[in-house]
Amino acid sequence: MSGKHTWYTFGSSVQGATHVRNHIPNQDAIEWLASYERQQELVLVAVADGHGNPRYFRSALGARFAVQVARTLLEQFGRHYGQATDLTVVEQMVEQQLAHLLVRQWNDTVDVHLAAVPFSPAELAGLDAPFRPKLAANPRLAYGSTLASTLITGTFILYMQLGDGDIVTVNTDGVVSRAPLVVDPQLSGDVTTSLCLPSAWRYVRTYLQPLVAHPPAMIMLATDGYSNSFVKEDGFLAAAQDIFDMIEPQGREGICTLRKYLPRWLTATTAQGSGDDISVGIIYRIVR
Amino acid sequence: MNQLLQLGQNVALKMLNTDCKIEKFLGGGAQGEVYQVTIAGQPMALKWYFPHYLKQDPTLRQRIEQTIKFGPPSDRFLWPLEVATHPQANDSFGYLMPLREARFKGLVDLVARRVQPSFRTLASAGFELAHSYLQLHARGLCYRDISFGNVFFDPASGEVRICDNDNVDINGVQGAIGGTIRFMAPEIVRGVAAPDTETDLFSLAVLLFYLLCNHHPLEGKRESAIRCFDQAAMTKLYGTAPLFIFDPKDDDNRPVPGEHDNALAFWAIYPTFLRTIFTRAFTVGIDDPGHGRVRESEWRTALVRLRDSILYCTQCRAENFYDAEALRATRQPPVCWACGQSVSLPPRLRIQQNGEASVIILNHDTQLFPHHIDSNRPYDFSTPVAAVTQHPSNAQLWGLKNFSNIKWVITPPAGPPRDVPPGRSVTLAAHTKLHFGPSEGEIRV
Amino acid sequence: MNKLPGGALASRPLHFFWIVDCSGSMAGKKMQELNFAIKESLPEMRKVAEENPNAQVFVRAVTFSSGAQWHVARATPVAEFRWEELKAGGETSMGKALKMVADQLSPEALPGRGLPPVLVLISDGRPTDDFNSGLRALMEQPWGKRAARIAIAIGDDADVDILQKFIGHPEMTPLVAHNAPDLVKYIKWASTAVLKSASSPTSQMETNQAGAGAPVGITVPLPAAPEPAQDVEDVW
Repeated sequence: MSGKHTWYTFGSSVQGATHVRNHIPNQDAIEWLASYERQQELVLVAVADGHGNPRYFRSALGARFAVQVARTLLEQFGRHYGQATDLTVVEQMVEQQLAHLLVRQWNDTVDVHLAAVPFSPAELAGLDAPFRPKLAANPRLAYGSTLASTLITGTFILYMQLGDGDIVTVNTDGVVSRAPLVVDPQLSGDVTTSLCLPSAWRYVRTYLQPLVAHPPAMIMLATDGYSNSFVKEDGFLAAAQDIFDMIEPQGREGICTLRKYLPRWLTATTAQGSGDDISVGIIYRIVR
Repeated sequence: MNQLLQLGQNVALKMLNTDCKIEKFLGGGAQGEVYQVTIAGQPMALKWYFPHYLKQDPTLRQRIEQTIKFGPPSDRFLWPLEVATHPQANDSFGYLMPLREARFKGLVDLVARRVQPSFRTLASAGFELAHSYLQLHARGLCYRDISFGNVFFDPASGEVRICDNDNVDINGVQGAIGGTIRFMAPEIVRGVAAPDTETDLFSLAVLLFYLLCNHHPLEGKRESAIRCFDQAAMTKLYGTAPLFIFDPKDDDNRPVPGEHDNALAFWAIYPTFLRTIFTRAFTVGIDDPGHGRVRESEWRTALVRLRDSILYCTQCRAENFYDAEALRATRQPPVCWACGQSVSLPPRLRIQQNGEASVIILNHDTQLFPHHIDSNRPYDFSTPVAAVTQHPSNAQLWGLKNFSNIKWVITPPAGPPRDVPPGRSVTLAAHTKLHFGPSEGEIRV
Repeated sequence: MNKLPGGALASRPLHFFWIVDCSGSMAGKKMQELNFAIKESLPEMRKVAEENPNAQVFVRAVTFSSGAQWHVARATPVAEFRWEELKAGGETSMGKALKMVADQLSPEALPGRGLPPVLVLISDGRPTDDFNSGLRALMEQPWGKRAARIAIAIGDDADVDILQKFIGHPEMTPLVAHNAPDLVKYIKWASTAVLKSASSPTSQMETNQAGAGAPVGITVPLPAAPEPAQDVEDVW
């Protein structure tokens, strides 16, 4: 596929309007990468949403760790397997190792941080009594976060998600649909699965898709602050469509326009909508 | 978002001499994608392969056509029915199969805790899996790619569906596919054997362990040690140095709390006889591939026995298991795993057949089937021969009702033998003996 | 570039329910005190809502006596919400009231993007109908289970065990009001502090996820298990 198109990627993460009012920092995080080193295509986006409840008082850090670990891991995975012709082997590695490694590496990162910066009395003071023993048994709870990510190489697209958030694809005809990840009925309302849960690897959902005739023209990843801002689900999907419609006629100019306007769009959206932190990553394919 | 076929496109079905329209994208993976189509008003599924995948598996088409001719071993298999082609896409092909109904959930859903079935369902599903593979093997076929992506079950009943029957072939034929490494027999992972019915048996054992313990039997401490993508480490874990997580002689691969909690929790709940057979499957079954593997018929017997051992905690109603060996060893009443209270044993029926005894717990919802009474009868769970029943006017009185078409003769603890014609019930009184014909039972309380 | 991508935006809906006991024992002074306390709380409730523009608070009220009915059936934006005084008389059909609230919390009635609802149950006595089935109907709704459930007991005759069951968390107990100032204070707390914390977008894990190691054999509601019996007929 490389040589026929180029993938561009851009993202933005804004502090939620409610967080601004309540002096809480942005608890989302985002990482993105588009690399064409050594003729090897590697494009990825990862967004993470730290839990807002005061119990998860280091979740902004947890989200930061989540996207960093995802970026490192997916980059490694992409370099290792990005040129593979036998995708059933790659699929097996995804199913067997990816979820475990993601959680293990996130756990390791959290553990190192906690050892260097133990919980302070001030941090613990605000906690409700029933939560204290749970935190004592599992200190990683304080760092809880979700993760949604996508990796594109020369031969495949890999979707990987844990918890809430949305990954949406747009085809060349401008038709929007959700990425083919399993829908998790445990995610509804404000409840989500998380990296900090024991055996969190169970909740990681993945999908490996070979790149063939009709790859997506655009992929949008977003934390749930974005979809929660729209009155209807269609309104949220229309956002992906509108962004695609804006970029499409302009090509690379469109990406520049996106870079200029995405942060202010998101800031306005949180103010008029959910009030939550919003992070959006866009991957766009331009045919040469 | 699908990539191979466009929604609304038509594909041709040669044998049925008709076209069908692609309606909906259902899912897919590295091999191909699955779509929903309608044939004669009936929704069905169509799998379509990626052209590059066909290059890796050159005999696939031939194998699919052969499989279509064989026909499914039973209705539990979602079997290829017909080859599909498309004039503009002649670098690939697909096949038509029955659609998996929405009520079936995958083992993937079980592992992710999106579905939480009862132990009864798990035992039933396990039985159906062993039974289905037995039927496949009895026809001289082997599955070759058993994995939990292929297996689905109805959380309400335990009824199963087995999908992705693309790799089925005649036993002994060499093929490109080895299967999913975690389900592959170690000798295949090591590269010293090819898939056949014996290696299928290992995969079945892994599948059953997954179903019942919600965890992989070889993934314990040694799996936790893997910290980066490492093909060599996987080959060691599943091929060159596989070690059962509950191996009685070597605890180097025990489950790690916090990562492998399910394995620890479930293993402790099951009765001794089940743990024994699993241990055998992953010790002798690993060391002696030719003769040491647990056979499907043994799994069937064990899973039926597991279901017959279910009893309900008198305090919290959680399902527990009757464990004769543990009771004999400890001489204590069992303790409920859910609430920690002592469980009083309900009445049970001890049946002797051909010198072998089996115990069936008599819960309010217990049913007996033909094989319970006559071990020569095949398994048939559609028609009970007996069921526990409550007296119509005395709610304190429970009995066993004769749903068969022959009369039983009972010998009450104090009194002469009596007949129990079809439709009548016998009170569950201690030491009542029942003569069913080929077998004899006694009520224990 | 002035138009934002996507469809209509709106703040997240937050549904607040007063569930009020209007049985005979509430008649007179108690009912008047309650009417007063709720009216007192409205200005501050509006203020909290204004301070949290990203939550759109809708208020409803259901009362129960002999049977249950909507006092305010329409989900009313808090700025427009007015409290018409209640009168008391009759039994205590608390179960029915819970069932009516449950019906309004179905996924069809409340969209997924909403904030968890707040339910405030106020009672001075014991339910005279099937409370358990009403509570079960409520807890079977995901929005019912995730709702912030508060209970205020008026006086010492209230059944605090039932109210605790409604709350469903060991961390919180029913607030028992023995006098008018207490009642005003608790009503204010329920309508402002609780509302304020409910208005913040937070994600969290379901509490039973934290113990996600234990198997979940289904607990089966059963009739009494078969017991052996003596001195009865052998065959029937």
